[in-house]
Amino acid sequence: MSRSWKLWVGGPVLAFLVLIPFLELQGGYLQTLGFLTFLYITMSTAWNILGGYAGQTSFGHATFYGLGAYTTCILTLRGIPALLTIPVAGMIASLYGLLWGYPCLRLRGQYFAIATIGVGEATRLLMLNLDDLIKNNSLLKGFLQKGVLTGGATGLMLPTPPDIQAYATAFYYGVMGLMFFALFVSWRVKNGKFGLGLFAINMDMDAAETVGVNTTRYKILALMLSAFLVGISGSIYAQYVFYIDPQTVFGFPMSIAMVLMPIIGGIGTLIGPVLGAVFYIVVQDRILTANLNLGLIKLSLSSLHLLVYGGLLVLIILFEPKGLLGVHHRFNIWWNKRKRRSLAATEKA
Amino acid sequence: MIKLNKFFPSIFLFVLLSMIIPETGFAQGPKEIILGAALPLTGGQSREGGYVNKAYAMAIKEINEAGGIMVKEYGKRIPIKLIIYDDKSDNTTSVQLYEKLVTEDKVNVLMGGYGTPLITAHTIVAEKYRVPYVNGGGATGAIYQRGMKYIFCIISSIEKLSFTLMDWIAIQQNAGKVKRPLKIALVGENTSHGKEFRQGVLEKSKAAPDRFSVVMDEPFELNMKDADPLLQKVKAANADVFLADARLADYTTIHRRYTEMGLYHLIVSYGPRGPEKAARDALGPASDYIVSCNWWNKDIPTPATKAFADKYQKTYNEQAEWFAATAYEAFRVMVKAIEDAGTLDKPKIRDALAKMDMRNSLVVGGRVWFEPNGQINNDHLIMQNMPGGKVALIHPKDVATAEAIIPIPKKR
Repeated sequence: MSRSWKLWVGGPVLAFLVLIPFLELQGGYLQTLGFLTFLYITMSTAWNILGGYAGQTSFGHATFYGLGAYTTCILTLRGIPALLTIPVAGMIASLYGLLWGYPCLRLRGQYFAIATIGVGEATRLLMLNLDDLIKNNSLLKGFLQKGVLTGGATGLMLPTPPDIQAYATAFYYGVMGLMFFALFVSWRVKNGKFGLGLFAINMDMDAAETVGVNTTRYKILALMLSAFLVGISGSIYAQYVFYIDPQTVFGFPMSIAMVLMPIIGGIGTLIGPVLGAVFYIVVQDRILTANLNLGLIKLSLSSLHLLVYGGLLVLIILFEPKGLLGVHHRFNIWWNKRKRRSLAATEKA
Repeated sequence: MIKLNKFFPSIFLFVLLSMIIPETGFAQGPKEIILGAALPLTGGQSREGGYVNKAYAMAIKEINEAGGIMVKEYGKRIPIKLIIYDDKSDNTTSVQLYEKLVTEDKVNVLMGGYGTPLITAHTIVAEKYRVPYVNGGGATGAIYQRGMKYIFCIISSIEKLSFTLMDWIAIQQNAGKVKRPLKIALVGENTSHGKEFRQGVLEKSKAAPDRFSVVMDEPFELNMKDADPLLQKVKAANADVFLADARLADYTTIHRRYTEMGLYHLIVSYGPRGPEKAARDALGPASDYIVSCNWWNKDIPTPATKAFADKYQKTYNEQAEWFAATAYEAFRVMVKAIEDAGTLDKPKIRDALAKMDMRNSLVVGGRVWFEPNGQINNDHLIMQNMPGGKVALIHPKDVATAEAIIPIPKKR
């Protein structure tokens, strides 16, 4: 795509995204959908830094999302302004990444993936039971506020502002900014020395080490960077919905979503995670309320999105490992060939 | 040449008519009143969500058969339409669907789903868009302590449920049926529900140390596979009373093992669980004499309850459980609020809900009204399972159908 084309297409799209809250399209539902899409693009892009560039498949990224959300809620409920908690949430998630990344990233391939599942589930259970665990501990008791730190299964509720609508609009722009920041970070990583190191690790870890790449350090840095962005996403989500519980923010489905999106869109690329996230949200939204009317039987298709993603995943792994971007490239090649053939035919004639 | 002034009266009439006709069309009102809800029809809460779905379907059929809701502003009855989505028992999806209901489907009012986490999450949407919202399935008091104006609930809090249970035990002490102080073994599912229940029991115990002493307080994870470790602790606690808060599946698992281990307590309660047919069929005589405390029972001796229970049985060929009854009543409350408001203006419907005083209701006490926080504050009902699969209402006195058999007979 030439530069002018990018401007012609990108400009109006960006303007449209900026204007969505004012246009009140679909009664404002598009704003909600936009918020979720930006949030998922951020997480998908963040996961891609570790999973796509470095090739370290993590099934435990919901841990960072949950930690970000909980950090914000815990701090906000103790009087710290919500906006200030956003970078703190990112840092806590990042440090947690360092904590378990150091031992886990020594594992390779599927062993690392399995370990991340364990970490994710252990963190969720810890959050469920933390209040009860520290309730009787005289040293840690001070962290409780009215007997509550994480709220256990109840979760935590944030106080709602008087004008929730205006607040939601502000967060729409906030998460849009975060998405661009995540894309910028991903672009910088991809095109820098750090990215080269990650790609080398992805291709052959032993070879990367022999040419001087400190693989453990690179992988940990990628994990921390990825965790930072996902932690911020969690923080923003908590402030947008005003309520979190362990099952929602630490749940395995969230981790799976973060893996699925880049794979669907095109793993290891800059734009792939964006395409994957848009696809994920659109499919989920359309199927969520769809019904299949078979005369006597009316089937709700709401849970079918998992089948769609699952089926797509199988197809991608079997036929097009580069995801939607790969399909696009194939189409381009076919189109150019067709164009050349018709040109040749015209010249011949 | 045509003289234009000849046509002025006709043009004037045309303009006037064109101005009036849309007005007249508007005064006719909408073709239907749209209500919306996202229910957990699949996933972890699907069983309860299914009850709510059936209750809503029954209520809507009834109302439409009567011609719809009378809206004074339009001077006629308007049929209703309910849009239901499946939130898959997932908070994020639930929020998204409620947003969709308000913004895309343009619902007039919102009905609640089931389950504290889900209701906590989507009440935000109702409040954000200022759409009146009534539920009959989210009792946790914390939901209503957030200063929201558009959220209403027709079941009183879990904390109050545990207070009612403890007060009833105190009555048994006063009657000399059980000793004082009583040692209590307390367990509860690790959810907001269980937590609030345990908090209530602990609070009451602290307030009356001469009556109660909690010798064991333990949470447990949902969907338990093995109740042995928990029940070994209960056994070791050597308590007089066993109080638990559990869902249907866990209640069945725990109590089956409880019976197999030969445990005995003067009073046994699983909070709101106990009389459910599915559990009684599974447990047999082991479930006899269990005391439960909840929001509704088909044997409440009022015409409203009898009519609902009979109709539900006839429609679905199954016994009505409280989940269905409170959902059905929440629906009727919303309908009454629209009629009282006499308009589809959302703030006015909200005001009508805040001023609600509905009589001949299904709820305990027969009256629905709301505290300033939006939650009802009526009494709970205490029941005891009796031999032969029967259930006796034992508290409050005005609905009691039998005397409680306390302490529980040892040889069962």
